[in-house]
Amino acid sequence: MPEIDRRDFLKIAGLTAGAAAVACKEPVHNIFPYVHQPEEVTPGIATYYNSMCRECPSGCGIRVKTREGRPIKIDGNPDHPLSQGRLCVRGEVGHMRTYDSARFAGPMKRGADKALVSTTWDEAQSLFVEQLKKAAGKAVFLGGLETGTLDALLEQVLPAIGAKHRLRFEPYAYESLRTANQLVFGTEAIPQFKLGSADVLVAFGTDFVETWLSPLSNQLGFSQARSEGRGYAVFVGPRLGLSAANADQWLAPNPGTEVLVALALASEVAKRKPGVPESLKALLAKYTPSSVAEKTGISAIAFERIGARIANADAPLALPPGVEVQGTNAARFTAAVQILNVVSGAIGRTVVFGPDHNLGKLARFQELSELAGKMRGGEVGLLMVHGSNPAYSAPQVGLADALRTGNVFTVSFASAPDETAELADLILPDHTAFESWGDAEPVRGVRTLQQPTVRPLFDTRATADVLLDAARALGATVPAGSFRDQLVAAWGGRPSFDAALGKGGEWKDVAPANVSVASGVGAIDFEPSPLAGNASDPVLVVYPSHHLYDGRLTRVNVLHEIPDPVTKTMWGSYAELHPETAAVLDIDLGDVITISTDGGQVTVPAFPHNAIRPGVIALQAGRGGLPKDPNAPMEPHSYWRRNVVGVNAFSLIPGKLDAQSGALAWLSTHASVANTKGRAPVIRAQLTFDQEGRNFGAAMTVEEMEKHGPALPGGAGEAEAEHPEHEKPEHRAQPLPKQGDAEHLETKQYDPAADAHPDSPYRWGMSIDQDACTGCNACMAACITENNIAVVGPENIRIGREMHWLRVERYVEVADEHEVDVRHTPLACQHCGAAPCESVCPALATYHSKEGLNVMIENRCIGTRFCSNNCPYKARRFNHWSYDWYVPEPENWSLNPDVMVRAKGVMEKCTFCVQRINGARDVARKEKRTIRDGEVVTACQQACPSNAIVFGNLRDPEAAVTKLRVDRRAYRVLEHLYTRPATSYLMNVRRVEEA
Amino acid sequence: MTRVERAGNHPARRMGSGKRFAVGLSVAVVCAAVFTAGAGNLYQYTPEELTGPEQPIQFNHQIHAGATKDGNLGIPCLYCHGPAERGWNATVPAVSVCMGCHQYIKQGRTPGSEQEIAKIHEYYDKNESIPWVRIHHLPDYVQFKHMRHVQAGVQCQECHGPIQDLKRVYLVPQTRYTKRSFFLPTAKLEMGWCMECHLQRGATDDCVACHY
Repeated sequence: MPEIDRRDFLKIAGLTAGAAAVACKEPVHNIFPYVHQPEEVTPGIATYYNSMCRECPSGCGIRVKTREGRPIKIDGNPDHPLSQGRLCVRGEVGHMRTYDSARFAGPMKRGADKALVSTTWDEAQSLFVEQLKKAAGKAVFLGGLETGTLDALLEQVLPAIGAKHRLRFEPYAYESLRTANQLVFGTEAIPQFKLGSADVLVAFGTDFVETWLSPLSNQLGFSQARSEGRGYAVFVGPRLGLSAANADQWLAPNPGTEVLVALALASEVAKRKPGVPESLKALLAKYTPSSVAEKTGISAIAFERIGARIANADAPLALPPGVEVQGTNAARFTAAVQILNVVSGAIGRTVVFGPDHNLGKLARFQELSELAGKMRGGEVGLLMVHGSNPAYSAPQVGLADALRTGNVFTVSFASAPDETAELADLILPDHTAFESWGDAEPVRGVRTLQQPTVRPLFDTRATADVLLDAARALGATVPAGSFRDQLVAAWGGRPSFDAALGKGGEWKDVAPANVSVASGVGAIDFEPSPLAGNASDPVLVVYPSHHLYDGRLTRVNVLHEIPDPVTKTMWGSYAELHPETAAVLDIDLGDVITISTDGGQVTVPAFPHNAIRPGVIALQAGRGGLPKDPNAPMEPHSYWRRNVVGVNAFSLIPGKLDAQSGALAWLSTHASVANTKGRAPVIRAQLTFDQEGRNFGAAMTVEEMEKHGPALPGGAGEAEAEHPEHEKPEHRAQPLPKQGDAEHLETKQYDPAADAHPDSPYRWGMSIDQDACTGCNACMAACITENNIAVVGPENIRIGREMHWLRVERYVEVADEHEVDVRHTPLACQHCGAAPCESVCPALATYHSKEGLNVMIENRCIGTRFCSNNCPYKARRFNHWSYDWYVPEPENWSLNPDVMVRAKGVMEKCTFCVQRINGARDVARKEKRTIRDGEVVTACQQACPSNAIVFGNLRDPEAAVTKLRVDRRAYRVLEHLYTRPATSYLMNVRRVEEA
Repeated sequence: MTRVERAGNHPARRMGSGKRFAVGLSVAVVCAAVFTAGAGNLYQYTPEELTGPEQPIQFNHQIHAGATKDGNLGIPCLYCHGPAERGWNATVPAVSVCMGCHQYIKQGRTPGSEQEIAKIHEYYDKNESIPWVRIHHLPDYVQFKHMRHVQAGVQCQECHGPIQDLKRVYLVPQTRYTKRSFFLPTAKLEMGWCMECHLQRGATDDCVACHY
């Protein structure tokens, strides 16, 4: 007699009842084969193309993974000198801009009622030509930074169509750096700043991890210079931003007086180091630490210590100021920093002229102001806007008002709606970066090619071709053929073009150039000018957005949902101020405040936190762009798609300029702040930056590390850095066991490699170096695109429904003049050997696989959420909605077909990229071998610009991850709970100033 | 068709059997009448399913892949479905692959073949894809890789039935009473059916081999 179990019974009962009702038909699925299958494409197998990232001007080489002709994942090009196989948070999601559902579907023009209506390319092109004729030479081309063939072609074509004037506009244009180099060295070039070889780094408000010059290669170098407790960094600036949080000392002088800090340091170094140019001696003698201590608010002893450090360093480097401290003295301030580089001997060693950044042709902000003036004066008949959005990012110049007067016919080449396109009379949408050809030479000698990886999704045309056609229609002589023909010709014809395309470009070393200090530097007046506004008000600091750059990525939802690396807020702008300042102004967390300056006024929720200097109010620029899609469905979980998130902080900056360089003075005014008494939610991922003594993110000092000598077997249990001053037992109802207290659980003896089936050759594990981790969120972006993680919107985040499998915890232990100890702990599922989640699952949907993975079978899950309850790391995420099912076309084209899209009612979590493990297994099985070390690379590991993440097989004694597991800095998070995690962390290294 | 819907029920491998003979017996008795009425129909394929859906072109697998001794062409499966050996999907060949032969062969030997072959030319000349109707469809939460099975020596016929003899492709019913599921038949492309083979051959029984 056969058994009948519960399952069979349910099956029979359910199906019998339903048998009559199941007459409904399954929808028909079609298979559409290629007509001509491209040689390199096989459906189901990914194809990779080398291309170039265009999400910021730094021009990193990327490798685009496409499936069936659609880019689904972006990685760095391992051969490219700038990206070296890594990518930043913006580059990781660059393809989302191509899949933007609100993009222009085709050309548009103003109809009778002034509304934008669709038109055809023929009509649009003839209207364009007609208007060019009408403008009769009074046309202006306003574009972004182009350094390749397009730039050269525009130089040829624009005069032919009557556009004599051309502006290359970027909000971050390094005007002050160029002018300062002219003052100090007699050249406008922007040199290489070699963070990789700098053993002492002093950054003057430089956001080198976020946006400054070439952030990805900066970060690659920075982490390289700091491996194994080496390196030392000092940050000077009003805000403990992402770059500052990775420094070891944070000097926050009175805003506006940073220039004096640079000079005082230079003076201290000059005292200790020979070879100071005669012309500088008198100047530096004037700015001694004691003479500037009062003005800057920094103690003289701090200058002396840092000065000594710089003087004793082999390769010191001072980074020129970023925009957040760029005031009306920007050029002179930058010159002061370069003087520090001169006296410390950095020039030629860590500051290398020759392989310069190609930013020299960028327009100065002043030129944009002049253009707006000309437009108001009727000197401009037609304005072409390409690759920039000045109506949003430069509201000071009044370009929008000038366009609204209607005297100027505006043509926008934007591929998606933006503030400038909204004012345009004609829209001729360009392809996005993933649909078009191009090239660039971001750094001299590094020529990078950009190739289309998807067929244009909408009825768009390459702007270069539109301009070429217009020139031909006007009877001008321009090169024959399309833009692509020009590109091929510029790369020396087909064979060499194809070879370069395969590699991603062409790079050669450029010989360094010698520079000498110009005379007359000593005569520059370095005294800072006072800030405008009421001195009792807080100083306004506007800083560039790490995620959205200058706002060009504002339409990428993922970037709004990845928590800001500093405040861990999401979805919006928050006015940051120190709790002391907030108390003085009577402002609480979440109070809606108005900030007003001569530039404008914004209303935002306040976010008091400690990572900012008192007496300062900071706002992030780049937020508050257009609503995503005004026609988006009003689904309860996707209504945010319509909304504007945040405010435009650019609008607060008064239009004051630095007279010498023509740069916009970002730091130039106090702002009056008023509490409206309104309340707004603060959407954030992490509610406290205090570990409450749990030592989640651990640290050890350099001395403690050196005591251990080289890596020790058995882990770093004894070397646990104790922080009794941070132990706060009063915060706890029950005393928690401390890390290292669990000898009776034999945590130290346990062998993580044992947590897999005896027959399995693998036990997968990970190692994360917290000291290398900068908290830049690139891993999160990579994880999201690889694993189809849903964007849930602010309403869901507020009630704790975020879906990120991987998050970066941030703990601020100390941040002051003496030490910065901010710990970034990337935290995903730890794949515990004794996982608390597994034992409570009633459906066996989560279990321990033979290879030691803590596996989550989403389709087996019944949604009790017991596992999430029982997870001490809070690494599990529950689908309260079928989020990704409602993603409009073509946004869902970015989904990875190798990973399922989860529906509502199931739990999900980090899988250690099991699809990649299985992919490597396919290769290994075919070759009849086991998977080699380094063959499986998880998405987070692949992206990490600091090389902080290592993944591998713990049963392989030679694997990098096995060795790191017993490193002197290794520890496991919450291992005293006896979870036997497979992820081990390397402690943060505190480079403590000797007392 | 109902099978695809039911594929969501995951008749997973039983995790050990409890001795519940008495319960089983009584439940069986109670359900007997219901069962005979209902489960009898459970894996009965409708006539439409048995013949397979109407395809845009009446492609005949028998003529192309059938045995040469019967006068068929005997083209190996991998000639057209090559990626089955090296990729996840077996894939339907590109129209240009059909045209490789059919630009010369315009007249087959079955009646009406001329019109069908003319359709390939029509699609090809219009540069259009042929909208084949999908028959073997797995849910999105199953990651099935053809290459692993082909490389392990699994014959196409083991899953797809005697495909070389089919005039029109349909999901070949392979309803069978397995040892594990004695009481109920296991049908085509269901997990129980997959697992039966996996266990017999000693292939992986790890959930995460297919579900991620």
